[in-house]
Amino acid sequence: MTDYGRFLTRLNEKSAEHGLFITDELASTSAVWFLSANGRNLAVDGTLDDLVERVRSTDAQDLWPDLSAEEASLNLFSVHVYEALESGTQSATRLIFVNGALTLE
Amino acid sequence: MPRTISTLTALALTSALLIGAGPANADNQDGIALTPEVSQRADRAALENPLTDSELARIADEAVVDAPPLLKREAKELKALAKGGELTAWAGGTEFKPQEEATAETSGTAARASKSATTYAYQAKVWGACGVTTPNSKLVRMFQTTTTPWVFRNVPMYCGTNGYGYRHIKSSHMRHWNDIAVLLGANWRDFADFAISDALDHMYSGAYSKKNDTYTYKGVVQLKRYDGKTVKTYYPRVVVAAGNYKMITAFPSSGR
Repeated sequence: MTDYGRFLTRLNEKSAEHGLFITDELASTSAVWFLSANGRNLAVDGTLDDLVERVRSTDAQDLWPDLSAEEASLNLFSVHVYEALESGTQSATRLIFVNGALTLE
Repeated sequence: MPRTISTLTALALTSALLIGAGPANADNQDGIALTPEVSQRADRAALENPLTDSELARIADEAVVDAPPLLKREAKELKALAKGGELTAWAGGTEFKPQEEATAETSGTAARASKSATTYAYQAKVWGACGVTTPNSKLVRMFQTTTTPWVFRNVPMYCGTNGYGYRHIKSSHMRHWNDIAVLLGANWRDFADFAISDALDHMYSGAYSKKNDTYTYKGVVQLKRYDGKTVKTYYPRVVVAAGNYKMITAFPSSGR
C-alpha cells in the first residue's frame, strides 16, 4: 500500500526549488499537476500511481551509492524536472515521461 | 454584467500592456483610447471585481502563445546567417571550431599561424562509444571543473542509463544540442563538448543544491555574426552528483 501523502511530501521536498506536484486527492487514479516556481501549470502525464512508479523506476544508485534507492531516485527525478523546465518550450502544457526522463509538451 | 465589463476592460488593459503600449496615449486592440480616465475607471472596476485565478491563468497563457512567432523569426534569422557561414560560437574568449574546419586549418602552416595570432580555437575531444551492450560504467569523456582557483576536479561522463550520463544526454537532449550545432556546421557531440567544458570552467557557477545533492554549472555561449555582433546567447547547464561528480545531464538553455 503506497502512502501517497508521504510520497508527494518527499517528492516536493526534492523539487521545491522548481515547483510543486499537486493533486486533488490522494488516490491511485488521481490526476497530478505540476505548478512551477515561475507560475506555469503543467498537467502531469498519467495518474498519481503512474508518477509513483516512474519515480521508483528511476535507477540512481550509481550516482548516490550512499543513499537509499528511494532517496537516490527522488534526487534524480528532481533533476529531470529541472531539465524539462529549462529545456522545454514556454507554450507547453504537459509534463510527460519519455525514455526514462521528463519533457514538456 | 458589471463583472463581464470589468473583466473585458482589465483584459484589454493587460493586452495593451503586453504589447508594449503606453497607458496614456495608445489604443488597445479594441480601439479604446487608453486615457488616464479610462485607466482609473478600469482600476476601480478591477478592484471591485478582481480577476479569478483561472482568468489570470488564461491571460498568462495568451501571453505565452504570443511568444512562438518571435522565436520562429529568431530561428529563421539564425538559419539565414548560418546558411552564409556567418555564424561562429564563442565561450570565454575561445572560438568553437567544427572538426573538419579545425583539421583543415591545422594542416596548413600559414592558416595556423594567422589563426593562432588572433584567437584560441577549441577542438572537441572524441567521445567514447556507447553501444547497446556497453556497460553503464564505461567512461565516455573525462571533463574537468575548477572547484576553487587552481584546484581541478574530474567530472566523468559515463555511458550511464536513460536517466543519467551519455545515454540520457543523447536520448533527451541530442536534439537541443543539434539545433545549435547545425547552425555552425558541426555535429552535436562536438558542440556539446565545447559548451560543457565552458560551463564546468566557470568555477563559481557550480551552485550546490542541498535538496537533491547536486551541483549545477552554467556556461555562456555566444553566437556571433561575421562582424562580431552577438546574435544569440545560450546558457548551457551541466548537472553533476555532488558526491562523486558523475555527470547526470547537460543541455543548452536560452534562459539565464
